[in-house]
Amino acid sequence: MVTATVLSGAVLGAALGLTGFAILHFFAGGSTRIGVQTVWNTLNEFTLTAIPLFILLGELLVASGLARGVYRALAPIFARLPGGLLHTNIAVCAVFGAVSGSSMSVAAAVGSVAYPELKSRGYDPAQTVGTLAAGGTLGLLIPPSLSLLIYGALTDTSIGRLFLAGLLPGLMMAGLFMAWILVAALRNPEFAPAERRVALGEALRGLAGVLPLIVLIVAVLGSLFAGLATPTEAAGVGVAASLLLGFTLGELTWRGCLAALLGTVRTFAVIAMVFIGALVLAQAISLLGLPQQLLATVAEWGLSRWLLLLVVVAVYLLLGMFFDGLSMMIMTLPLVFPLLTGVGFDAVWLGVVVTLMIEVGMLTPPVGMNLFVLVGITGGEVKLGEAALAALPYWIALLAGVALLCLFPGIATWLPSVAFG
Amino acid sequence: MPVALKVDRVLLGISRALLALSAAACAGILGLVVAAVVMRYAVAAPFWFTEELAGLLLSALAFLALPFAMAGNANIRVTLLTDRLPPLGRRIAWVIGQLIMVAFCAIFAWESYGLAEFTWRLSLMSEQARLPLGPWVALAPAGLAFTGLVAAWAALRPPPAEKAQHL
Amino acid sequence: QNVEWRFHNSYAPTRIESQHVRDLAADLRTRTNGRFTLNVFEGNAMNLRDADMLRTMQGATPEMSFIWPPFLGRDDAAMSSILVFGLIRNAQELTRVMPALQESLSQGIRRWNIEPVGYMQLGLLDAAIFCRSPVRTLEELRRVKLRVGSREQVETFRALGVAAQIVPQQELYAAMQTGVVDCALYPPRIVHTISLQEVAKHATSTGFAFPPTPYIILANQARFRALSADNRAALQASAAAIEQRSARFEQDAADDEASRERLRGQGVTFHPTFSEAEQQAIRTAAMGTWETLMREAGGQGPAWRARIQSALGAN
Ligand code: NA
Ligand code: NA
Repeated sequence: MVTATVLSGAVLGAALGLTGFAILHFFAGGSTRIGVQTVWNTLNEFTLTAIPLFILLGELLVASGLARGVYRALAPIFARLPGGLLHTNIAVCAVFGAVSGSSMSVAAAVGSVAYPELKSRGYDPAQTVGTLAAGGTLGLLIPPSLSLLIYGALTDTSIGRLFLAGLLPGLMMAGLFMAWILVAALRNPEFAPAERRVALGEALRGLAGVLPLIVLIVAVLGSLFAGLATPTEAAGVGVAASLLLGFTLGELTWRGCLAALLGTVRTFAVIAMVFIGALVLAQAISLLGLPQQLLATVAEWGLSRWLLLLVVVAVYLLLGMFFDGLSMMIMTLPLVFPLLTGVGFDAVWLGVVVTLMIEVGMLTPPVGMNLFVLVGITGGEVKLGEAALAALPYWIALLAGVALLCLFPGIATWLPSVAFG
Repeated sequence: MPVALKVDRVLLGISRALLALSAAACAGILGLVVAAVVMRYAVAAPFWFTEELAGLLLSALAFLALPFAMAGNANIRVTLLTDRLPPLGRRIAWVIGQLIMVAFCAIFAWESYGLAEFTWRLSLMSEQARLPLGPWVALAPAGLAFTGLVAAWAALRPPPAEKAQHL
Repeated sequence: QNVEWRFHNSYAPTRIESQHVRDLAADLRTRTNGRFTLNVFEGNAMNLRDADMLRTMQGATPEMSFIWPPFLGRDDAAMSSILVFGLIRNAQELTRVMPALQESLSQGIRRWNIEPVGYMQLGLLDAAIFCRSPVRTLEELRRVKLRVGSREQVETFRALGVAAQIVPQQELYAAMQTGVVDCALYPPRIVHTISLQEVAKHATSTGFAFPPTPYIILANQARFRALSADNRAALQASAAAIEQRSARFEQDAADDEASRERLRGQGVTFHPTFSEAEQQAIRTAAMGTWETLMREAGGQGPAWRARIQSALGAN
C-alpha cells in the first residue's frame, strides 16, 4: 500500500499517513487517534523548535547579503580544489554539528544559506542538495548529539564517552564525503563549476568577507560552551546574532526580515506535511511491534558475531526506509543492544555504529528526513528522487564508515579510553 | 472559468493570511527563546513557560502553514511514475492523488477534533506552566480541515505546472 | 480461555521496573499454565508517551501498561500531585500513607474507565542535589541555579528562595557540563543513566525522597471485563506478587548508600545531608505547594490530600 500511494503522485505526507491510518484502523483495533496524538506530541517538542529557527538563521544570512559575501570570499580559496564550494558545505556542516544535536537542524541551517548561494554561482542544484543532506548527518556524530544522548540513557552507557567516541568518526565521515566530492569532480568536470582563479595574496585579502560567519559561529558556540544556552536555545542565539550582523555589517531591512520569516514558515510547512505523515506511519508500525518482532526473530537464529552485525545492519537499512531516525533508535535498542553486546561488541562503539545507521536512514527514501528538509528548502526545484540519487554516494560512504569502524574499532574507542581510562 | 478563478483566489488569500499568522508564531518562538536566555543570564531564572509555550507555538506554526503548502502546490510528491503517463492518465492520477490527500486530511481533522473536544471539555492545561491547551489543540483540526478543502478543490482543477509556484 | 495481551513498558530493559514486569508475565504464564500470555514491549518499543497513558489505555492497543502518576499532570492534575517532593522522608512515613494513597489512586483511575490491576512500588529514592561545585547548605543553594524535574519542585524551591528551573532531561547533561545550571535534583541511584556524575562531582542529600507514589498497573477495562474469572484472578494475583516484590522500603536506604559508594568511586564527593532545620524548612514549603496544587486540581484533590495528610500524622 505504501508503494501504491507513494507512486500515485499524491502528496507524500498524505500517502504515508493514510497508509499509517489504515494500519492503525484495521490491525491495531481502530487506534487511529494514537497516530494523531503522536503528531501532536512531536510538533509540541521544544527541541524541534531548533529547526525553523535554524532555517530562519539561514534565510536572514541570505537576505542580508552576508552569505553572498562569505561565498565570494571563499570561492577563490576553493578554486584550486576540484569540487570547489561543495567542500564548504561539508566543512560548515561539521562546524554546525558542534552546535546542534540533530541532523535535520544542521541540514536546515546550512542548507538554507548554501543552497541559494551555490545555485546562483552555477552549481548543480541536485549535487548541492546531495552534499548538504550528507553534511547534515554530521549533526548526530559530532557532539552534542541527540541520538548518542538517547542511546546513553536507554543503555546506561556513559554519555561523556559516547560524545568523545563520536568525534573522530564524525571527522572521518566529513573526510570521506570530501574525498568523494574530490573524486567525482576529477572524474566529471561538470560535477562542479570552475571558480575563477586569482593570486593567492588577493584571495587571502578577500577573506575578510568570511568575518561575519566567524563572528556568528563564535557567538553560537560561545553561548553554548559558556553555559548561557542549551543546544536548542543556541539556535535562537544564532538568529539573534544574525539579525544583529545583518543590520550592522549586512544590508538587512525590515522588509527583508519579513520575507525571511515567510520563507521560513513556507519551507517548514513542506517539511511538516511530510513529517506528519511519516510520524503516523511510524507510530502504526511500532504499535504493532513489527520492528521488535523482526529483531526477536533474528535473535533466535543464533548467528555468529559478525553475521549477526551484518543482519542487524540490514534490518536498520529496511527500517530506515520508514522511520525518522530517533524513533528508530528508541524502538530497536531494547533488542539490538543486549543482542550485540551479548556477543562481545563494545557498548560505546555500538552507539557510534547505530548512530551511523540512523544517519543512513536519514538519507533513505521514502522517509528520509534530511532529504525532506532540503527538498523543502529548494522549494521543489530538486525532487525527492533526484535528491535521493544525489545523496546515494554519501549513503554508501556512511556504510563504508560502518565497515571502517568494524575494521578499526579504535576510531571510536580510542578517544574515550584516553580521556576516561 | 471566472468563478473557478475566483475560488482559487479566495482559497489562496485565506492560506496567505494563515501563513502570516504562522510567521508570527515563528517570530514568537524566537522572541521567547532569546528572552529565556537573557533572563537566565540576568536573573538566574528563565521563564518557567518557555519550553511549553515554544512547543505550542511550533505546532501553531505548522498547522497554520499547511494550507499554504497545499494551495501553492509546494508539497513533496513522488512523480517519477505519473510524469511518464499520457495526458488522460496524468489527469486521472492527479485526481486519485488529491483524493488520497483529502482522505488523509479528513481522518486527521476528525481525530484531532476529538482530541480538541476532549481538551476543551476537561479544560486541560499544560503540565508545568499550566497554559490552557484548548485553543492550541483546536488549530490542528482547523488547519487540516482547511488543507483538505484546498486539496479537494484542486482535484477539480487541472494539474498544476511541474514545479511549485512560490506565490 | 486463551488470552494474549500486549504490555507496554516505557522503561529501559535494564531498569528494575522492567525486571518486575518480566516477572509479572512469567508468573502469570505459570499460574495459567500458559493460557494467559503477556507480550511485553520494553524500552518504549511501542513509542507511546507516559503523559498520554490515560488516553491510550482507553483504546484496545496495548491491553496493559503501567504508569507513574506524577506523569499525568496534563490529563489528571490531582493524581499527578497526590504526593510532592518534601513530604516523605522514610519507610515509616511511606507505610503510614500507602493505604490512603492507593485507595485514592484506584478511585482516580476508575474515573477514566481504566482498570487498576495492582501496584508496583517505586520505593524511596533519595533526592540529592548534584552540583558542579560544593553546595552544602540551603543558603549555598540560594546562590546557584538549580535544575528540577517538575513544576511542584520549582514552586517549593522558589518558596525557599532558590532559583529553580526546569531543563529537559535530554539537555541536562550538556546544561550541567557548560554551566547553564549549577545543580540538579536527582536520585543517586539512577544518576548514572544520564551520566550526570561525569559533570557534577558534588552531591548533598536533601533528606527527602522523590515522591514515592507507586506505579499503577493498568488494563483496558473492556478487555479486563472480558477475561474469564480464572484469568482475572490470576492476573490480579500476579500483580499482587510484584507489588510484594517491589516493596522493599527498608532495603532502599541500603541501596542508596551502595549507590553513593559507587559514585564516590567515580570521584563524586557526598557532603553531609541537609540539617534537621533545613529539612523542616523544605517540608513547610512543600506542604504549601501541595495545598496549592491540590486546590487548583479541584475534583477529589483536596479530599485525597486531607486523607493522606491525616495518615501521615500531625508533623
Ligand atoms: Na552535533
Ligand atoms: Na529513512
